[in-house]
Amino acid sequence: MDFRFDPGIETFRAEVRAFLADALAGADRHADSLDLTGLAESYERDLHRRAGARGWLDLDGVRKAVFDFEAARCDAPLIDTAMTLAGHAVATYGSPAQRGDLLPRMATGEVEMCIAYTEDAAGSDLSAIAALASRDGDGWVLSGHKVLVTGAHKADWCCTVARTRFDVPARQGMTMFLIDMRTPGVEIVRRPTMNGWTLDDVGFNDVYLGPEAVLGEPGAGWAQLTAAAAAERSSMFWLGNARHVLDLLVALVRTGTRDGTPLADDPIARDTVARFAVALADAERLARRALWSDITGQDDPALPAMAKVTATELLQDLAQAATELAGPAGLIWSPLFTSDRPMHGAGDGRLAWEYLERVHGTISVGANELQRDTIAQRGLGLPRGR
Amino acid sequence: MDLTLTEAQERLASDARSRFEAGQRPPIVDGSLTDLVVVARELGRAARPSTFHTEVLARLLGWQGPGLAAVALDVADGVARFVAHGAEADTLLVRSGAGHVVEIDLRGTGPVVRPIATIGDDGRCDVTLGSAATLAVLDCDIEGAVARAAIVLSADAVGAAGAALDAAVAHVITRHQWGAPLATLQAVQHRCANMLLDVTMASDAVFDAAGVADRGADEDQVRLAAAYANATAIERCRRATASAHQLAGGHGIDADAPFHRWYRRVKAAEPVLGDARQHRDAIAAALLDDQAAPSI
Repeated sequence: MDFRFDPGIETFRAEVRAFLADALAGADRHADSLDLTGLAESYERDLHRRAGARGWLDLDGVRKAVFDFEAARCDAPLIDTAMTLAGHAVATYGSPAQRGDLLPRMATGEVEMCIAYTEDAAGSDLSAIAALASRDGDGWVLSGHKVLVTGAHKADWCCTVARTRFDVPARQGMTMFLIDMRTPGVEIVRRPTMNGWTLDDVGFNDVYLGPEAVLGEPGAGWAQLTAAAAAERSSMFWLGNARHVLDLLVALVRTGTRDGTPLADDPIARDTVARFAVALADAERLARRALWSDITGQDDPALPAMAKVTATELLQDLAQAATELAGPAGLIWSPLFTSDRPMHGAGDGRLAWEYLERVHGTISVGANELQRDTIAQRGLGLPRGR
Repeated sequence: MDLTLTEAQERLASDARSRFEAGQRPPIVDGSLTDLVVVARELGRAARPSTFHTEVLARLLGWQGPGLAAVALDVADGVARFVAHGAEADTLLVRSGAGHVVEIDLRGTGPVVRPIATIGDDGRCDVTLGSAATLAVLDCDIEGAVARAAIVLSADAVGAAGAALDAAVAHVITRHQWGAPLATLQAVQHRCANMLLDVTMASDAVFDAAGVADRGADEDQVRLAAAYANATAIERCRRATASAHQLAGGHGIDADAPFHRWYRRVKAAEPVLGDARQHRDAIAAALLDDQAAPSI
């Protein structure tokens, strides 16, 4: 048994790291703390095009996982790319015209996408979706209100889902659509999150869609959505974040003091560092096992859920432990990128940012409670819950 | 990356299990450390003790004899304390002052073997050496042998935790309360999910460490990999065997029920492996005390 990636993959990793180190030098001058990435849209689009030119927006398997890890590790705005968010859905369900028009431009970074599924009353339970697309001649008229959408304000296209029939159960009455964000009736409202950046509400106000806007089969939205969500992201990018924070924790304990005593001499601080080094090593092996299951076609349905739960809870625990060890400096907050960092912040204000940021990981992309249901039912064969 | 066991390794495990169930001692194969880990994990699933870890440690220390050699690397005032399987053993391996390992005859009239009441099932004894005869002097890398044997003992704990998980899952599926299986309760499902997480991550850590040793990494790397594996396996396996008890409910504490066997087995491994804090101490030193950036 060998958990190491092949030497060719490690060469690729080194190439990605070198590219990102160069590309992100000076990124602080392009800060935009209202965006999830912490960076201005023009800067992000430029970086997407540069990565796309190298073929790096259209990776799969191990290379995709390694790329995500390295991008996350240095906060590069390359996690929520069009290909990552919607590539699977477009490639799998798109018509020849949709694929031909969008996929090449998504892969080169010319087109940015958002995915808008969640509604106020339909979070974990997407069968409660109320957005409605009614027939209008050959086409459709879409009305509805989507919430918690990542990056709608900068997206060119939106992948969404709506009820198209109410006379059948929700799982047979939903349809996916691909919508040009410039279509009349699409309205975006940015809402600040607890950590300063914004998520978007997307209103569809009687948006007329031609027949070509349907993604996949009318009525097949539920099944398509389930498959697309499973393919959305590997857990590897969370571990890139975790590696970054562990590095900050190690640096804090190596150089910091508490009440005049070096943290490096504090047995509890030392034990904390080791505990998280062990936990991260465990999480990385688990993510590799999930990846292995994927690339070898075993597709164990429990492993992605196991990797997600482990990575997101590790990030919360790391943020808590690091801010606690840092004392008051652990409360000093800074956005990811800024040319005006606060003085004396632990990890330059990053640890406090982490403490707020990591709240949503255990909620989004399938709350960890649902993931544990999946682990128990798909991994251990337990019956559906009551 | 290759995360599968070979067919030969799967066969090793099932052969060892068959021999063990037939009352024999599975042979220590002259293969990789991973092969030994495969067998140890399988034997760890049994609800009765095996001497496999003791045999592996003796073999890694260079002992080749027939019968059973117990191991007590540290002897104070002529007494070897806390010797696993001391009463069953034919000989005892102890560390000599010169850093060698000395084989001592336990069957002669000199040594006195006194069983100790522990909560483990691994036959701990105090051995007063007296005028025991020295049979041989073994030249070996003691630290390397101990690190590798600890990986094998962690695999035993992983086997115990995995078996406890399987038994707990079988119980909650078949046990009905309020007209439905316990397994339909979300609190029960989530405890089971946490156990699967623990067992999977413990197992992978142990196999990863065995792989580091098998690939001929330098001894610092082997010891560090063993520390990572043992630190996580001890805690995760202990937690999983305790969770199995909780899920098994009242009948689980019957002496005839298997759950306490796994629960004891993992706990008894703890001081042998070095408790998790000791391993984390070594990991912290590697991360914090070297000038060079650490990596594993």
